[in-house]
Amino acid sequence: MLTSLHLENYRAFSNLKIDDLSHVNIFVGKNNCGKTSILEAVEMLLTGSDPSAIIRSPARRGEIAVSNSERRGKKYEINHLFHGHLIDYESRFKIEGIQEGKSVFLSCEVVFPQESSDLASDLFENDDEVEPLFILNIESSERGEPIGLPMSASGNVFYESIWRSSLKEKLEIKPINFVRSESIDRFQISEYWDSIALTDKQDRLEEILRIIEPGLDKIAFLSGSRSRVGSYGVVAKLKNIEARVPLGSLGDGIKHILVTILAAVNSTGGTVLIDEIDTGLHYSVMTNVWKILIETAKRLNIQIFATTHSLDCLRSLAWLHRQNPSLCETVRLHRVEKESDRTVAYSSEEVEIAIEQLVEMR
Amino acid sequence: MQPPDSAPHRLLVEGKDDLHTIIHLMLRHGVNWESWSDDNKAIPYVHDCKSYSKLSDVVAVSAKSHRRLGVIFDANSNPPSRWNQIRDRLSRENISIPDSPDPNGIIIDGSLPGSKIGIWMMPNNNLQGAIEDMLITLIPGNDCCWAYAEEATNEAKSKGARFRENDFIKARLHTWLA
Repeated sequence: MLTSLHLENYRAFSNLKIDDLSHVNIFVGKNNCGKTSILEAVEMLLTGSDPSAIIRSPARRGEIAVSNSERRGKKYEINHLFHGHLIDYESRFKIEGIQEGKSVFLSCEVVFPQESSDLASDLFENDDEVEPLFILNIESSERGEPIGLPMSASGNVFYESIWRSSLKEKLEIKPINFVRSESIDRFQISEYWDSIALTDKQDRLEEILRIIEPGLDKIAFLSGSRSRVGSYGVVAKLKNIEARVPLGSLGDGIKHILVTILAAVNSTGGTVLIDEIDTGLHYSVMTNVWKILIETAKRLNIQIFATTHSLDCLRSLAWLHRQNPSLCETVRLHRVEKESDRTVAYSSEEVEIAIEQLVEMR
Repeated sequence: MQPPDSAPHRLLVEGKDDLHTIIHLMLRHGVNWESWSDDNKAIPYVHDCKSYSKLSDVVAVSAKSHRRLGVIFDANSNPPSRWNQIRDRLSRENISIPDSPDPNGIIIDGSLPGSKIGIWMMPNNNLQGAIEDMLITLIPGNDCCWAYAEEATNEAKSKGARFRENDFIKARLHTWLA
């Protein structure tokens, strides 16, 4: 479990310290204050031994430039990971944390190549971005040797270089899954599904989905061409309706919960990152959703990082604390402020007091 | 308009009477609580915590949530005990206040960057008593009704008026106002 995090020159933050991390962490704060960037920083730090760690967040955000080369694959705009979006020689960002009492880090620094061969000289040839070329030097506590990736002057890195360097050494990474509010990766959820189909976990999942749709009987994933249309190939059978219905017909909330729970059960002993945890969910079901997530995190030894904007979401947490204070001991709310270099943490007991006394924590 | 409860500045009081008293005192001193607007966010939201115990529960959470926080509470019969309770709650957030109140009131730095916390223990940061004991100091010395209010309150008590002995000053003040 990560207990603290320190971001330097990363995305929205020139310097940010986050202490008092717990099993379940909820980040709140105004729009554009960097909540999602914190989730991405955790992801990058914990997957640091794999060079593709640095493109997971640019890929999700669409920070991808037009590439003229099919062979070299997509061109990722790594410069956006640096505070201020601009890079130059010696630009550097660093993500540090304490995990099980041990210091862990990932840093990226822009350096000049030491030998011309470092550049895989033909890499940016015939491209509109040519010299000067940099090397993006990635160091991680999880990997012995630093990785050097050729980088254009504006900060682009080809997928091919990442792929090549990931072949050198494969290190094991603890499970980590990122759940997004907007689009959901169909292939990822069918992979999640494969691990639970026809196990007790499937029954438990359906039980959880019934919190939102009490009429739900069963769900299934379709394979083949049908699965490419509709709601990620997931269909539901309702108790009183003969025909099966695409899961999407039952609303966004149930889809979001399905993916969240699938991600959690596939992250045993690892980490789940949930962007906008309350997407599509009515406040009346949110207390139960918290309960399930906190219990699941405990049972499967998962650390959860989530973001939210919603006051209802915090109200439901306060309500759960009133009903079951010991369950909520592992929850921390963290407020992120643009102008501050520290987050402010609240225990679930404090969340309950603040909600009762109308104190604005967001 | 009145400040919303989400206003960035907040003043905590123990009860409804205190809330109205403070809002009127603010107005007398040129601060109209209803003049809050998006361009004038300095006016604090005065929050009635409903009791001293709830006020002391929420003081630490409020200190983490507001850049400007005011706290007003009654000393009642044991001023050091009430002061110490607030001091303990704030010290858990690494905010230190003096061991005993300053007669001029205190304003200290909060835990958030650039934040300030002001604390006042009624009636005067020293003696036992409550907000009403502070208010009677505002009554002119030659006021003719003040002595009569004492008489009338005593008479009401002897006829069975249901206020506690401790609340005599409060009852006398309400009688005077009536």
